[in-house]
Amino acid sequence: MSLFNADIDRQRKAELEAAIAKRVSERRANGADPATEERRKIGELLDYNRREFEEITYDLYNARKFVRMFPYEAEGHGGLFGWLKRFYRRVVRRLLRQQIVFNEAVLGVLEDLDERVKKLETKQSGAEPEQKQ
Amino acid sequence: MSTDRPHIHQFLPVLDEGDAIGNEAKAIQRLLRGAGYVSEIFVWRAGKGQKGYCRHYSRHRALSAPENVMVYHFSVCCPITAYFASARDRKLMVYHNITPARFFAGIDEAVYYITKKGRRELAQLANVVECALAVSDYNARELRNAGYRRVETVPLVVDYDAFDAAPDETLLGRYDDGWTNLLFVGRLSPNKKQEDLIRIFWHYKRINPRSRLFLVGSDRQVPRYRQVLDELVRRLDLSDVVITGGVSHRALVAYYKLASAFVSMSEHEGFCVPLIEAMRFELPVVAYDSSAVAETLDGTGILVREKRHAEIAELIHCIMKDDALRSELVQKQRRRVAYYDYASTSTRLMEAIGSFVQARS
Repeated sequence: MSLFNADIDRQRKAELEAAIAKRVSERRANGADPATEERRKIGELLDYNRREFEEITYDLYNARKFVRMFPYEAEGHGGLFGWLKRFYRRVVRRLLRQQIVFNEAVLGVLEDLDERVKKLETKQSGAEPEQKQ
Repeated sequence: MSTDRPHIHQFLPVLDEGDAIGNEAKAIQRLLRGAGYVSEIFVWRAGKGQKGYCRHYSRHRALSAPENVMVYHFSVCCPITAYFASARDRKLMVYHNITPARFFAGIDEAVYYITKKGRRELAQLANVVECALAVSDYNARELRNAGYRRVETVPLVVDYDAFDAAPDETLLGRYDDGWTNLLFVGRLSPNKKQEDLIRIFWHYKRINPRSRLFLVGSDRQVPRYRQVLDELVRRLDLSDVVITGGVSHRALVAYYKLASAFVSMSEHEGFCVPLIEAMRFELPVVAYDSSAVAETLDGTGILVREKRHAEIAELIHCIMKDDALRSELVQKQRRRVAYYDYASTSTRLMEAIGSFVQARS
């Protein structure tokens, strides 16, 4: 696939693409592949959207533990300071948001598993008649 | 001022300096007042130094009337939505797009939740607004898919002449040294993919050691992403990556003036104002083909189809050393700048608002 689109002469674009490909392959030939080196240096830093469930669960566990320090019904305790009530509500809101993210992550995995099971079932149902023969 | 005309008031979640939506709201207010309408800006929160330009949305109640018009700049979930939906005024929406929540999964659960809720609110408002204006066809398609019946595309009204302001001399003195400066302007956010720009720059720095990367934009929305970017720069052992955070208008002008090329790897844009700003500063634009980017460029600049970092770095190098290619790109970009000039976009917007107002009267 062509690397880019531009409103320039077709011949010129082809020359540009060939020059880029040549320079990249030369750099690869002259030593270690820069892209591999780059990936090695970065490690898993950019996989932030693939956080493990355990990590999220741990966050939730911590948040719940934290919430237990507060009275169950903040409104029912008239003696509480205003700032404490606001703080309590903030913690609860954060906990709820995390719960939503966690639930959706779990649902996503369940959907994946469901799809995989369905595929396996389809395969199996297709394979069974052959086995009988 | 005409007294029989309806009042047209605008609503937006936050009014911040340098924010594209806030700037547009101020430009629209000037246009409406110039046309004789009574027009105020109502917000949920006013940014630093913006209180003089707006009021809290709860103060609109006293001005509410069935013949008046509420213009809601929609980009994120906000308490204004419920008030907007229940008000008796006529309702017009300007849709600026909502970043898909998936970009924030695992990095900021608060923004994930806000964007997710924003999509739900967008769907809920489909039967409430009379007409929705989208700043791009890409946004218009999203609105139609969300159930909006009357949708019009009207480009964002931006006063690009504001960039004629004097640049920050301190920055010019610090960085105007003949080096190649690559620039991206936009808040630090996972959908804008500043991480890809740093990775491309790592390759580019090997080709041209006398080069810099400027990442200009607020880092307040997703603080953890800023940490990821700082860590990425550290791991790649890169020097000359300047992550500025939010900057003043004069500083922004200075960064555009210092830049040699504008590079964007953003994976979600409802319009992308900085592309036009960069074109106005005659910078060659290299941008990744996603969401509304191709529509905003409309065949100008260079549209990258795949994120092959090493090759993109070579492509930038080719543009930088080929004067003829660079001037050809810049020349073609000029017609796009002309298309989005303030006079034509403001006329189109005022026509859209005018026909909306007249539809009932």
